[in-house]
Amino acid sequence: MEKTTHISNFLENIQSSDGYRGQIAHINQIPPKDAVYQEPQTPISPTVRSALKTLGISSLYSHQAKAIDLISGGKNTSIVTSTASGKTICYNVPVLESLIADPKATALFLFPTKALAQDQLRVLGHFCSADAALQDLVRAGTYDGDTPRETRRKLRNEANVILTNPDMLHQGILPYHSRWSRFFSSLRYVVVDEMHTYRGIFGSNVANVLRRLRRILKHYGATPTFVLCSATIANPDELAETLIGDTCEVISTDGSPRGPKLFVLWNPPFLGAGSMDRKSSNVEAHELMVRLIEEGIQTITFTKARVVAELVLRYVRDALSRRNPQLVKKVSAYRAGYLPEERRAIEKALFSGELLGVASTNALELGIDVGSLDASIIVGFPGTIASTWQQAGRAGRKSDEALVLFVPYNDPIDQYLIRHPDYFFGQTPENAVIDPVNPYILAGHLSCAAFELPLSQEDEAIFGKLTQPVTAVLEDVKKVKKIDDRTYWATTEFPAAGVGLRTISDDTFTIVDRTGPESVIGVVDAISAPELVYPEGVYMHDGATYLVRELDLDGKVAYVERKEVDYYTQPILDSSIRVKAERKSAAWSDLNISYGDATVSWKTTSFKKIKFYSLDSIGYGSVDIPTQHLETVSLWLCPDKEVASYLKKKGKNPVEGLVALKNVLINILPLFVMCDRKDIGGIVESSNLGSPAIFLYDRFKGGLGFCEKGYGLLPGIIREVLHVIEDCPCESGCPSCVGLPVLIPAQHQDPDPGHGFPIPDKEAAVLLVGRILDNA
Amino acid sequence: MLEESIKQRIENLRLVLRERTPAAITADTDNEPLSVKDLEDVSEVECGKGGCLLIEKQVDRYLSSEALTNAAETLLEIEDGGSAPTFIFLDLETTGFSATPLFLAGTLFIRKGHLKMMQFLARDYSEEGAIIAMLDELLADFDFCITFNGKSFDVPYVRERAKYHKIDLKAAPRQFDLLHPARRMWKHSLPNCRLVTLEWHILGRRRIGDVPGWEVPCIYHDFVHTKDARKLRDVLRHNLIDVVSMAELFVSLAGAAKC
Repeated sequence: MEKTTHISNFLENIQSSDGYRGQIAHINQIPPKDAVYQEPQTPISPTVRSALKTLGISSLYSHQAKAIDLISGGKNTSIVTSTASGKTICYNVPVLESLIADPKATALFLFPTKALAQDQLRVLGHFCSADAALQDLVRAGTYDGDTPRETRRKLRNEANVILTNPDMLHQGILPYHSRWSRFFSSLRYVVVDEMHTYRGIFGSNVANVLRRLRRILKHYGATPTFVLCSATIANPDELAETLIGDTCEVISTDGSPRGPKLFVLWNPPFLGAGSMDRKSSNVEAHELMVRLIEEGIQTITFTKARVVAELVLRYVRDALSRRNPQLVKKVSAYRAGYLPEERRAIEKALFSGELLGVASTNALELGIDVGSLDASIIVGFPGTIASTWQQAGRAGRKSDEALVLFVPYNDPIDQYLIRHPDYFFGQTPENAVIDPVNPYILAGHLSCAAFELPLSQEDEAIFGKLTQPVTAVLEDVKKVKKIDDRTYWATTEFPAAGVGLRTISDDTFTIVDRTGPESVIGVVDAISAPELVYPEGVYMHDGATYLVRELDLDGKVAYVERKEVDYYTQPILDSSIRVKAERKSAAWSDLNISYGDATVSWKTTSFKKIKFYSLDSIGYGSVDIPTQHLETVSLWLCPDKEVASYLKKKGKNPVEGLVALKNVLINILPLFVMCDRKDIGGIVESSNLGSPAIFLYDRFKGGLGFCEKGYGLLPGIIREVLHVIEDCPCESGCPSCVGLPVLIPAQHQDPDPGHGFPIPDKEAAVLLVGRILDNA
Repeated sequence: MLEESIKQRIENLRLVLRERTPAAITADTDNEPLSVKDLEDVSEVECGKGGCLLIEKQVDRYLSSEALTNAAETLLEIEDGGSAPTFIFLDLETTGFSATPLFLAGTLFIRKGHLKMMQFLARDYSEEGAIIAMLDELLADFDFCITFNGKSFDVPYVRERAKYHKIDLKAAPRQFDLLHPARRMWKHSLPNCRLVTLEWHILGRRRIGDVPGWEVPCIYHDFVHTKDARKLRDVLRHNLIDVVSMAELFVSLAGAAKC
């Protein structure tokens, strides 16, 4: 157990070294766990047995055995066990057995991203590589937007395992189901991996796509078994059953072994005696990473923004080139925007151990198989407890000791977590909320369903009790036509094109380096482009600095030139909300509550040049690119003037009370209107109404009915707000009550130079809400 | 019964969707609407898959059956020991781009020395299965099915829609796609090889008052909603011109091949 001493020694050494300044705020020891093996009752064929042997698997963990038994027995099953616990085995074994038993059988695997599907195709290929007969038997392929036309036809006609994503199933497979009649008629298994990512708007949409799939399968006479895999969330059973619209067994007892893990809260030191400023968290994190890498401890650093992943990489390479130049090549960054082949190479190098360190965004939080690492550094609270544990889960091998370091930013939320380790380690992961029967979402998917096959009475059992009324609305606007007892799609539109599953579009910009002959070095999604590749800004790629020369919004290209500079740039955003039309309004207690159409706008107006390491601001630049708009639906609450004077009289800042109320509303409105916290935006401002008001809005073009539904429920929601604040044991505000939801308008800012947003005054919030309820 | 709050949300949905739906093209109110029953030469037909309409007429005035038979002898291969091959022209009209129901199958063939046109028309989307089944039965009588771009479009389309309705197609006529020989023959001398271009330059006529192809699906959806067949009549004519032009083109190709 060489590594064990490594990690323990590392922590001892660091604490006794000269530079140590008491950064360790807390150490939590997570005890090791032995493997629990179990033999499945379902017989495993010699072919699959030998395939398992080549993977080095001679006996199965208890959760794998249980899953294989349930799945082979035709029970819908969800598996909720830790990262690297061998979830893939749970479904690959029954799938392969079914292909061996029935040469016609097929299986469909769904992954939230194309990259994951490709990764799992490799895993499946590896699984089959041992046995020539198995290789011949399994005809698998990824079917997505990148699949060439000819390959698509071949896969439709011949493949028995298709790996794809929900978006492709929605727009590229289900509408053309008659081309898939062979594949669908003999479909035995549907695997839904990374189930926990299907939450909020995306999850509600995917639940409907799966209902459409079940309906088409029924048409072809197939009733496959669903297998779902998930990271830890609070309600896996509920999420699984709502997603597939059927009952589902849950396996959550993990039989895989785990080495001891040390979870260390590491707070960057104050800059000097009496200073409230702390040392840069990015700089602190890179120093830790360098030391770990120098000890041969394979480390992943999770950052909150792409630019931070690049910064950490750059800092680490700088340090290594001075101290250990042979290690410079052993570190890399990993994030959205890297080209697929670049990503594949990094994943492979990480897996093989060739790379000792990677600075990543949450892109590596998903289950891309890179093997297990020794240490994980989490720079800044990722926003949810579930994400934190996902990131921590990347460190930890079967028996060796592993290390997780949480390095907070000097902002109120992160510092709160450092001060309250019990809270940090005691919180349960968040619920994943979805609402497949949201009328707006349902309207889109019933349109798609009608296009695929006429709707009939039986569909109510699949889509729920709103099927009839929503279909009636669609008929009213002449999208569908009822003929006898069936409802047909009745326009020339292709309905799937009008229904996006995710909040963000998959539209991308290309980043072209024109230092020499033009070459594409990366991509960026259209929404992020104005925040990442604005003219004269610094774009960082693989730790190197490029100057952005031109952003061609029509051509969707950003031209950059390699230039060595000693700073990076941070976009400064201006965002606003404008009410366009009020649809409903009512007075309730001290509040005027309304909902209606609104435009949320944001643009990069300028940027700040920030010097590496010191974070000194060394200048500004202005940016002239068009504003981006989101036309949506908003719900706004405007308190009477007396409320403000009441709070002032009590010595409280009224705006702070409103910000606190807004934060809690963003936290709990989703529970009432069934969406994810990220699906709702919020802002406190006074330019629309002449006095400060809270604006909440649906973060989806055209709105999805969240704020509309919230309007009707608001008195009940406000009552709940008071319970949440009063029941929270914290003294003056914490991330669970009035603190957290500063959903930063800019997604791509380095949190390091800023100081975050203060946790608003809890007492002001209690007084404000108390008064509203008293006067109701 | 739905709760009040849900009812309210459904009403909101209705308002939002109404606002987002562009206003329908206003119907022609000057003249009386036309019922599909009152179209010319129309009759109802039934098969195991249901019923649809059949528009049937002799079209000798456009083209002689001798010219066609002669062309077929030049262009279509005779099976060993067989007599002159039999053939049928086919053109489909659909309700959208792909994976949408077809609503009209127009055919042209020789029967008892006369040129005959048969159009199978669905009165609504539910009659597509009947069209496919009856078309299949008809096609089974012929050695060749002649189309314009049918190898990529019409033939796979019927096959796919048959799968949708779980109909096992019996007919397996050989395919003759006019587009390919037409391209070989004229691609250097014409701006393109679309059917209307060939009509103009090779057959020497232009369509007057014809509905453009892209409008056809919209007209059909409107017809299903309103039951007014006035514009549908134009679509039937459009489809008739298509099959007749295909037959004429077939004769021209044979003529050019002989030269």
